[in-house]
Amino acid sequence: MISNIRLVKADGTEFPYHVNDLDKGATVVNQAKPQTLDYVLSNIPAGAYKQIKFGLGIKRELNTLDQVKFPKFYVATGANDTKMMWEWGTGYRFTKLEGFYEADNKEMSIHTGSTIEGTAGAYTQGVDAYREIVLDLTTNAVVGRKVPKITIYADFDKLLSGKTNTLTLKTGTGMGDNATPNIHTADQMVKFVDNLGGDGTSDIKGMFAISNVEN
Amino acid sequence: MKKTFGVLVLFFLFIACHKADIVEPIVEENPELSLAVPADFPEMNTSVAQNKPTKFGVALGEKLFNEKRFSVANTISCGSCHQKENAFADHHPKGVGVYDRVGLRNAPPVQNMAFMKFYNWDGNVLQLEKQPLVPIITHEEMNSSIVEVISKISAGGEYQKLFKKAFGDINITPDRIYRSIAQYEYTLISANSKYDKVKRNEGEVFTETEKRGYQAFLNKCATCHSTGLFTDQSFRNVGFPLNPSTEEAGRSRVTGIPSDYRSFRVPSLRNAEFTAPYGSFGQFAALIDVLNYFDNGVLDADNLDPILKANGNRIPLTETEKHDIISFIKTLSDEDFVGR
Ligand code: HEC
Ligand code: HEC
Repeated sequence: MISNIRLVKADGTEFPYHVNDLDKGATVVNQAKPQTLDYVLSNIPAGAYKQIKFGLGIKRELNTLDQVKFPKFYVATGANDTKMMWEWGTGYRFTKLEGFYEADNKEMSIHTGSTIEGTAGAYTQGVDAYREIVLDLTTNAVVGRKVPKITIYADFDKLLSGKTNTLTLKTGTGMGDNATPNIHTADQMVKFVDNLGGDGTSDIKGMFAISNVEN
Repeated sequence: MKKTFGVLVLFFLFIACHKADIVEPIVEENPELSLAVPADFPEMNTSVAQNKPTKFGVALGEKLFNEKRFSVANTISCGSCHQKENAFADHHPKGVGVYDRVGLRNAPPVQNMAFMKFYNWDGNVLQLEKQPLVPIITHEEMNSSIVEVISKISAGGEYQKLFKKAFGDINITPDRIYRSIAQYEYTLISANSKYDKVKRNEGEVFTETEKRGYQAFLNKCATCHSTGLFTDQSFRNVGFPLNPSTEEAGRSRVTGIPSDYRSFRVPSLRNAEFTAPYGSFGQFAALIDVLNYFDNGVLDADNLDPILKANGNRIPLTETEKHDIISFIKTLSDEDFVGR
């Protein structure tokens, strides 16, 4: 789940892309639906852009399911083949990785999402699974007569072999078991979050890298 | 020419109507209800002051609480799982929602909510107004959505009148639904049991058994089941049999803190006589089963509560003590509250 996209111009000024409107500025990228791998940003002011920032997940202020305000995103995240809502937390699931691992095909199901309560600087409980990603473009993307295309590569190898943690999947119902559908627990989640989206301080890229900018 | 004229007339009519509305406002008074704080109860959750119960807010909340159209198949209301005669709990081990789908946990009694700082077994909700959306959208509970609920209850015009009485105009909004339900829940205060009457010196007295039970309770249970709520609202692992679901992590589902693993909010014991089965997923059919379990020894864990650890992972109880404690717990039954 990607939201809060900001494009940074060569002169350092930032263009926020519908950062407070999930219907217009957030998207669920689903590997099982190839059409979701392309995301078109429209009405971008002409100019040269050197950097892209985005959120992996939904920032705290918007992470409460609001069907009235953002009906389109509600449908997109609630769809049966997506299920990116986190009912008990009334927020969104930020990432969801499902599959099997090792030779005997053990089930793997890793979901991340925030359980944070309170306001910034004064959180009272919970974990924050939202991560800000900052990527320098390999060359400036020039918005003007042509439509530039930025290709972002997400390396899922980082899930286990990340910059922050080296993890081993383990099946079971114990506290340290991380692979099984411990879908809703925050226990092991943060380690995956830090690998996927960075720890927010020393790593602000997580699994992401710019693989190409086409002007 | 004629056409334009017609439109103008309509317009005038509209204004006239509107004026009449303003001249004769049918505003019914909607007084705030005062909530008394019973003896030994902690102070109220700060959210209550932001959403003070009013006469019509509470009446609307009660109606919504019992509204089956909240569920996708119009079969389940909040009151289906939170039944008044059972102190707003039910007798299923785990919640049973639409199409008989079974949830993760036992439905707790909805009582004395105004005084709680943490809601649910794991305390993930801190404000009662934020709770109703959870069952509405949860697949195993009502499996609906707030827009679907609003569109269903908007039919017929009945609710518009109630929203107007409660909130001043006919708009049915998600926020007003959450607020009125919470207002109703804030008024569900249980503090009129035999225990309360004894404490208030209203003429009732404990029997010998109850007296002994109370003493044993103070010695062995009241560190955790404390205050007038009979919970200190802390989260503890007391080594109860584990929910086999991999989705259950107790408090650590929220905090991500390993020492919170499989810890649950200490439950209130008020009206426990009416809320069997017991435990976070209804592990125990009866009160005696809970006490036998404590006596026989609980599951060990790194984060097992120090009080149990210090006692060899158990709370030793004689058969007489068990019997006495259960008699005492039954003095916490509030017949007025459950309407029995
Ligand atoms: C299918 C059964 C079911 C339905 C329907 C249901 N609940 Fe619950 N309720 C539960 C369960 C189970 C829990 C405990 C959840 C947890 O701990 O995660 C709960 C918890 C609660 C709590 C917290 C109680 C406490 O002690 O902290 C409140 C308040 C509540 N429900 C109100 C409602 C309202 C309002 C509705 C209707 C909008 C509703 N419930 C519908 C089963 C149900
Ligand atoms: C160390 C704190 C602690 C002590 C001491 C303690 N309890 Fe509890 N009790 C809890 C917690 C926590 C739970 C919920 C545990 C769970 O569901 O996993 C609980 C659950 C219960 C329940 C089930 C209630 C329900 O609604 O499901 C009963 C009954 C109960 N305790 C009675 C007692 C009695 C009687 C004593 C004294 C003999 C006692 N407890 C001592 C912490 C404590």
